[in-house]
This record gives sequence, C-alpha cells and structure tokens, in this order.
Amino acid sequence: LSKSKKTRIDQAPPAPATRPRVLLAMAAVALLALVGALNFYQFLTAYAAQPATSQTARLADRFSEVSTVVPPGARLAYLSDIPVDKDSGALHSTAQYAIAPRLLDTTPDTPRQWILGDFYQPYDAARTAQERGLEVVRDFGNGVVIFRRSGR
Amino acid sequence: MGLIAFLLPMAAGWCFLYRTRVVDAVEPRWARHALIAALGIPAGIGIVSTLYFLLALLGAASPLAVLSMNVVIAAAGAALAWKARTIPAPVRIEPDKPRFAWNGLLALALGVSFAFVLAGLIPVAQSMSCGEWDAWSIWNLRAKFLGGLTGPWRGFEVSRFTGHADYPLLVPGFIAQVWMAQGATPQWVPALTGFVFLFAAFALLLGAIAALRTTSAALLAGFAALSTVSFVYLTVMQYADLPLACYYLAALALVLIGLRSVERSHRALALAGLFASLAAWTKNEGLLFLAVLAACVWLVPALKEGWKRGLAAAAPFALAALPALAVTLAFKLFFTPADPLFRQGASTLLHHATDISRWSTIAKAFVVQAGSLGQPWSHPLLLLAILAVALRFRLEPRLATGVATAALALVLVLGGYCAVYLFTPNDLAWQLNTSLSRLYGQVWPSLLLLLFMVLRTPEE
Repeated sequence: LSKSKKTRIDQAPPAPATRPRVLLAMAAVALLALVGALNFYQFLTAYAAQPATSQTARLADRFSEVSTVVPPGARLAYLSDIPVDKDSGALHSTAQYAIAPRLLDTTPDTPRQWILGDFYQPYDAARTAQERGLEVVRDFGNGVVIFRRSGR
Repeated sequence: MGLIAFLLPMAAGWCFLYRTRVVDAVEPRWARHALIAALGIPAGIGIVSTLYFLLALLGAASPLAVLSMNVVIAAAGAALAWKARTIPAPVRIEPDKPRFAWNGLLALALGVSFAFVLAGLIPVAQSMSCGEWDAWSIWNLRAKFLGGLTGPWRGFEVSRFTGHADYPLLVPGFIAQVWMAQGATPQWVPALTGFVFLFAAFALLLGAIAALRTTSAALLAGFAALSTVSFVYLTVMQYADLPLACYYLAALALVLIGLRSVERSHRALALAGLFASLAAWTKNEGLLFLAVLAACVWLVPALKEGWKRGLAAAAPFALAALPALAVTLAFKLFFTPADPLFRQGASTLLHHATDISRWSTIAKAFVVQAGSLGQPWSHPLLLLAILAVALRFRLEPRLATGVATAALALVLVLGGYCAVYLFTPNDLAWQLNTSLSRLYGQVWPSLLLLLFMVLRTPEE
C-alpha cells in the first residue's frame, strides 16, 4: 500500500511556472514572518525575565506547605494585613488558588476552625493569635501562618 | 501516574480518529497524519474531560478510577485502530495536485519561525507557571477543586469561590483528572496542555488546507497564523480560548471535508458535530457556535441542494453532538447559576440596544483590536493583503457548499459576540479590554482556513 502511495505522489504533476509576482509575494510573506518570529522571540524572552511575570507563581509558592497541616476538605477564614477590598482580591485569589481544593473565605470573621494568615508587612504571629483568641498551628515564615481557634 | 492520565486520552483520541478513516483519502500523506493527530488529540482530551465530570458527579473520582478510565479508553481505541488496519482504504477520486517547486524552502522558513516562537514561549510558560489572571482565578482553580475531590462534586458551593460559575469544564476537567491521578497539582499539566492545543491548532490548519487546497497554500497560512502573536500568546495564558479555537477549527475543517460535492462524508459531518459539542463543553461561546453551525449545516445544503440533502447533512452532525451537549446542558441547568447576561430586564436590554454609543464603541474596539493581532512589520493582515493582491481569489465549485456553510456560521458567531458586548451588564469598555483579543483568537484560525479556501494557490 505504501509503495503504491509513494508512486502516486511521485506521479503528481509539477506545477506550471509560477509568476514572478506570486514568487515575490511568497518570499516577502515568508521573510516578514521569519523576522516577526525573531522579534517575538526577543520580546518573549525579555518578558519572561521580568520579575512581575513570575510574581503570582512566587506568591503561590509561599503556601506550598499549608497542605501538610490543613486537610483537603477544609474551609478556612482569611486573615491578612492587606484587606481583600484593598488589593482587588489579587492576593486573596492567589492564596485561594495555592491552597485549593481547600476553600478560603474572604474575611477572618467567619466561624472556621482554620484561619490562613497571609502577611506582607513584618508580623508577630503569637501576638496576633493572642489578640484574636487564636492559637498558632504553624508559622511557615515568609508571611504565611496557620491559626486555629482556641477552645475547639 | 499523572503523565499516564495526560497521554492516554490523547493516544485514545488518535486511535479513535484513525478508526473513523475520515481522512484516509487525504493527500499529501503528511497532511493525513497531521489531521489524524490534530483531530484525535483534542477529541481524546474532550471525551475524557466529559467522562471525568460524570465520575465527579457520581462521587466516584479517585486516582484508581481515573487510571482505570484511561486504560479502558486507550485499550478500546487501540482495538478499534487495530481492526481498522484490515479495512481497505477508500479510493481517492480527486485529481493529483501539482507540486510547487519551493515548498521545501517555505517549510524550512516556517519551521525556523515556529522554533523561534516556541523558544520564546517556553521561558514565559516556565516563569508564569500559574498562567495569567483568569487561569489561576478561574480555570485552573476549578481544576483544583475538581481534581481534589474527596466526595461528590460540590457544584454551587465551590462555584462561589471561583467566579464565572457558569463556565463549562472541558479544560478544568481534563487537567483535574491528571491531577487526581497524580495526587498532586503540578503546574506542568495546564502549561503543557496549552502547548498541546497550539500544536493541534497548527497541525489542523496546515493539514486541512493542504488536504483541501495545496501544501504551498498551507505553508502560507502557517506564516499568517504564526504572525498572529495575540493568538500564539494564548498558549501560555492557560485559558480555554486556545482549546476553543482548536475545536472551532476542527468542526469547520470537517464541515469543509464533509460537504465536498464529490465525496460527501457523513462520518466527517458526524465528527464535526462532536467537535462543535466539545466547543460547547469548553466555553459559553461554544454553545453559540454549536447552535449556529448545526443550523448552517442543515440550512445551506438544503437551500443549495434540496431539503433532503440538508437533512442528510444535519442528521449525523446532530447525533454526534448529543452526548457532550447533554452533559453541557445538564451542567448548565442543574449546577450553575444563570448567566448574568440573561438576568437583565427587557427595559435594560432595550436601552442597551438603542444606545448608539455602545454600537460605535464596539465597532471601534473591533477595528483597534484587529490592529493588535500582530507586530507592525509582520502583521497577519499585512501578510494576507500581500497574498490577496498577488494570488487573487477563486472558489472551487466542489468546496462551495462547505465554504458557504462555514462562512455563514462564523459570521453569525461574530454577530453573536457583538450582541453579547451590546447587552453585557458589565462595564462595556472593561469587557472589551479584557476579552476582545481572546475572542479574535478563538475565531482567527477558522478565518484563516476559510480565507485560504478562496485564495488561489501559488500553483494556480
């Protein structure tokens, strides 16, 4: 079968001579696209090197150890020094993505057993816990803390 | 385990497409292989995503269930493909196509261009491993919820945490089943899925044009597609727009193949229905596409060739679309809130429709966005203009019904997009700014496919 196919392809008639106008247009298209691809490559490599490009991944990485403490089906309250309405939800959404499938409320005031602390300024986890009647389960550093409500 | 759940659906899809033998008569041979892979892989992804959603609904999603599902599907596909080897290939009845002498050079230039683009996209995908905003706040977040199930899918409860709860689940479903099998959520899964759909879209575009026109025309279309940087960039965003573009393109390419006057193929039309229904399972826009294309597949052949021919074309399309459409509609009806677009009162809709400033804002945005499709000196519209002037237009009679069907469907889909902007309850400028480039990306490969159906080939 493959031999007969090969024969058939070989027997395909050659195209009639292509007009110079068409050849020129095709060469121009190929050349412009090639130069465009090179430009795009340079743009993309510069873009990849910008810190902002990897910012979400870096923020999400901070929460990578949360799963070792909080079970997958849990629902957490959210305690941050940057309230959700002040950052258009970007930091909260990043935290939610990082800890999913655990569910993350937008405030610290919901009656959840677990509270995710997400801090961007210098913080004192023990003091925060004491002020809010919480206990520190683990301070992962880098602004990420898991609290639990005391007395539960 | 994750890699197995990633690859087996694609292998199963390849086997399934091979078994249908829809593209057996396609020449040249590279186009035949490209089409089998580029149709089979997205088909496998879509089918497995649908099945995983059903597993999740039943509360039966587990690593073992996912792996079993994949192994069964792949084994069934392999058995079908093995059986298909004994079926004689259909006789090709189209005349041999003339060869363009410079195809090798064109292919080399396209390959180098593609390598440059790929070499740029890979570091961005590594650096931006969570994708763009909607990837981690919507699409991949839903995949994490679906892939981390410890019981039946919680639908409404979880949807409050993701936003856009009414978005269908093809992409999150596929990623979720890999993550479920892996027992972790590595970011290579959504990142690599983007590249798989990029390769599929390019192979599909080039394969379809080479099959229906010539190799040189396909290579020229490749340059135009590669120069559309806003489309190519969808790869690393990890949204559902690139998969949607791929399913649109697959459905329309199969409509063109299925409605050729010489050898009408009901199998191709059935596959077109399958891909259109998978588009509906990918994004809300896909539901519009499915409805519009189903109507066009019936109406255009009916008007041109009689009602019986119209029904004969539409019946396989509709039948094959039913399973994925049923899942999509069940998801929409029972597990998501109504789209805010449809919750507005008649007076609001009438006010939007009669507001001339909204019409002009939308029209301006479409024109401005067209200018942002590519870079100035390699803008795809510039490349297409050069080709249009040099090659000019001619529609082959054997493709007329298919081209008319696909063109009407695309025009209606674009009209639907405009209507959504006109009636959107969100701020219009914000909605246009955040979505129009992606909507162009959804239809761009399909527009290129149609354009190269009516452009003369260099051989002509």
